[in-house]
Amino acid sequence: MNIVVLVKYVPDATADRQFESDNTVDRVNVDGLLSELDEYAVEQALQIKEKRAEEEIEVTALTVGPQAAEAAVRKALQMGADKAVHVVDDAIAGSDAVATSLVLAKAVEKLGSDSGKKFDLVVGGLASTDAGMSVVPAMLAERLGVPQVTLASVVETQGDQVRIKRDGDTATEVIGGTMPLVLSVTDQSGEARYPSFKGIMAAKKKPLETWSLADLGLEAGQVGLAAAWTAVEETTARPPRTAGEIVKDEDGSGAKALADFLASKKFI
Amino acid sequence: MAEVLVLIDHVDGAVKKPTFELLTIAKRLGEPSAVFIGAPDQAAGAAEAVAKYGAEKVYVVDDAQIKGYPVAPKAEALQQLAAKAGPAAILLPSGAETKEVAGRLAIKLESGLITDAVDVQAGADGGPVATQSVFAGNFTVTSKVTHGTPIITVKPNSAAPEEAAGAGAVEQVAVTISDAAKTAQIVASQPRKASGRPELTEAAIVVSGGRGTGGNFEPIEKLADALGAAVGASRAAVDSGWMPHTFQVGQTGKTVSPQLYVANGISGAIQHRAGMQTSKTIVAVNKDEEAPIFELVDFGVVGDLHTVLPAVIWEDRRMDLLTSLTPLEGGWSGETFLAEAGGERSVVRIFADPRHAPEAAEIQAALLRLVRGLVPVPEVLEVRRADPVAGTPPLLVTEHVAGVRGDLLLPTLDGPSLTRVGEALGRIAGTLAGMPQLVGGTFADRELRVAPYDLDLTDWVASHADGLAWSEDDLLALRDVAAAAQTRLDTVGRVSLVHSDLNPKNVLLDPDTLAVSAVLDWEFSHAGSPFSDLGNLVRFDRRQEYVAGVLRGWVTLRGGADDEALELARCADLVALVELAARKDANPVAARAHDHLLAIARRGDVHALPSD
Repeated sequence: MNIVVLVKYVPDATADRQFESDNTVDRVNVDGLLSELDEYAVEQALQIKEKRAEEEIEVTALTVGPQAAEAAVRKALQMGADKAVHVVDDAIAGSDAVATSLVLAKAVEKLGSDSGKKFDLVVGGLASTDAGMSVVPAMLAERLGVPQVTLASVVETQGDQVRIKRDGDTATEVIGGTMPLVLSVTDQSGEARYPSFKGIMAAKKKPLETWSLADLGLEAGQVGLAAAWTAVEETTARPPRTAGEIVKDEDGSGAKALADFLASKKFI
Repeated sequence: MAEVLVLIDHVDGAVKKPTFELLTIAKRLGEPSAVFIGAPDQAAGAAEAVAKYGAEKVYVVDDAQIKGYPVAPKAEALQQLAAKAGPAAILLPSGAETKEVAGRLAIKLESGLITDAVDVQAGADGGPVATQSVFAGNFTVTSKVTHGTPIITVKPNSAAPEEAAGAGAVEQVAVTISDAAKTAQIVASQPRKASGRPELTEAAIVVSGGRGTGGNFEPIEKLADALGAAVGASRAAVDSGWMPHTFQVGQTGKTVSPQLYVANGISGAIQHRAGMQTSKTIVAVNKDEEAPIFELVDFGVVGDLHTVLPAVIWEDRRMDLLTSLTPLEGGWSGETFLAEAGGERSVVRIFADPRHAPEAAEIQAALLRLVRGLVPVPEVLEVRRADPVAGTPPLLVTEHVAGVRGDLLLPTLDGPSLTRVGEALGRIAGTLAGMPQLVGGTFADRELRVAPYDLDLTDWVASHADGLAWSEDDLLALRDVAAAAQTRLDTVGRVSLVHSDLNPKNVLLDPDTLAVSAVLDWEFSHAGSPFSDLGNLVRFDRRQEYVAGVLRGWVTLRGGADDEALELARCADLVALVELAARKDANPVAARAHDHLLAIARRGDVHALPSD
């Protein structure tokens, strides 16, 4: 079985994140890391592999991003992925979800044709911690022509069947699908493991391939900012919230003050 | 004008509010056409609902081939509909599933997609310009779709729904769903139990709890219900197993943008901020004044949510009542109101302050019934005890009695009139002094059982010494006066009902006849010295005509000599003077009492006045 895990290198959410002058996310001058939410995807892929130890299962970490994004797939290798692919090309910068899903789809297809074994599962996190669109898995599934089962809090596989539990907007659902498919998992699916020392050492020897757009049969004009189907007109830093009034509660005075504040705003 | 497709968000045909917001936005961009994917027999109701918000057409897609399969069939249906209608834009409510539908649709239609817009306006070319809030709400981004049909998912609360009559013409649309779209299916579905509260992402107000709740969400839920709000939780509360994940607000939970967000016991980590930072007004209650959440708030309370929130609910109830009632001048602590219904006037006393005993209203009602017929008091119309479940305070409704407050009338009276009023008041004090009690103490319940309290004046002085903050000489002098007074009072040897706040302010008079029409505010009534109320009546108003009248009224009923009664009255009044003087900064009356007491102590005379 072949599992591809999508990981993304994102600006550290706790750092001071910025936009570039062309309104793309500054992914160079800000500390980056493996999107925390993608760690859950790596974890689930590894768990499937461990639960089905009698089968031959290969877990490939796939990322698309600048040079520094290699750190994201390295982390996945340290956690236990078998190999990694990093698609890097200057032309990719500024790609939107549509273009990103195109690059991912081509890379997943190339992985299949290179090894002669098509993918069975593509696993992603629930949203990247920067753009948070949550649509890449759906777009990728559409491009690959497969179903997607997404936002899983519990994942079970048996043979070519996948079952997930999903806490939907109005109901808790059990969704089933047949491989190949695209799966996305939430942070409720299980704590991601820390790389062990052994894992970190082993990762140095694992294959990490770097692909360009040309390797995927894509042209620069098909991706990147210029090819995006959406255009950012303006980015504005939100004005810092002016510090509000803080009162200390003494003998019920806090409650009275809070009630007065809420009343002044017509909430009560 | 080109059509703008709006996917209807509904539960079994009941259209949800975000749909109306989307229709309002759609009108800015073109002619709104609503898309109903659901059971055909529910379509008519939905169509009627969306027509009120400007939907000119309502496309009805039978969901027989669609329900039971997530995402893909809906995307196919919308693709076919878009091919037919050629819309200027497609708007969907932002939700976990609809965003994925939009994602697939974007690829199918080769169209740009913008998700989680918080605003959409028509741009210079008439096309939609969407505003998003990104990086945990630290940036706003405006963007537009440059390829294909703009597909935009819009977050709830992004527009105020505006009613606008639309034709609402229903058009059935047949769609073909491929087998490939049905390869993933919903095997089982457990609808979430209805909480009766608004949905988290749609609510105008969200009340959230975090680690600081300690797992007790009751104060959070009660405040939410009082405000008509949804309940949210931080990741810490969810990870602790206190709340289900569906309540989580934050990066890995729901993103909310309500009018008001109340964060309780939530520190405000980046992961939480990402989910609520765009709320219009943010309020926080947290014990830790260093909590980062306070950097975001419009108003913050450093305090324990377990005491602050219930008190806010009480305040809320009180304010609710305030809007329907007129506060009465001189009423106690802003808790007394004049109510008017059907021409009948009554007085409503709400014991809203949580420091009141739960039975406070009942005790006062019992006292009014006890003395009624002996002393003029308003009739009790309704008594309600506190209901901790409903969160309602004790309440007492009495008849409204006409009259002028004594403290306003007395200064206008001439000598003979003063004497008449004094005599009437003295008789009231005398009547109460004639109502024996077995032991001294406070009334504990509505049966007027007494919780005994044996008051000794010298001990009383000692226990108030801190509040008085007097020199040692003055304190010793006061102790001597108190000891002598206690000895005098001990000769009385009995206790009676005491109103305890019997002064002209709490008395209503008929300005024409000068008769007492009502004695009000029995809040502090207890069993105590028969001379307490007499002492209260003559405490500050020392005019000869008045004092003589008061004493005459008293002695007529209780017998004895005027000067003896006055002496005992002054001794008994020391209790109140000491208590008032010990909080001399609280109000002018207390300050005045303080000056009296100091004069009494320094001259060793219970009759002394500061001006002597």
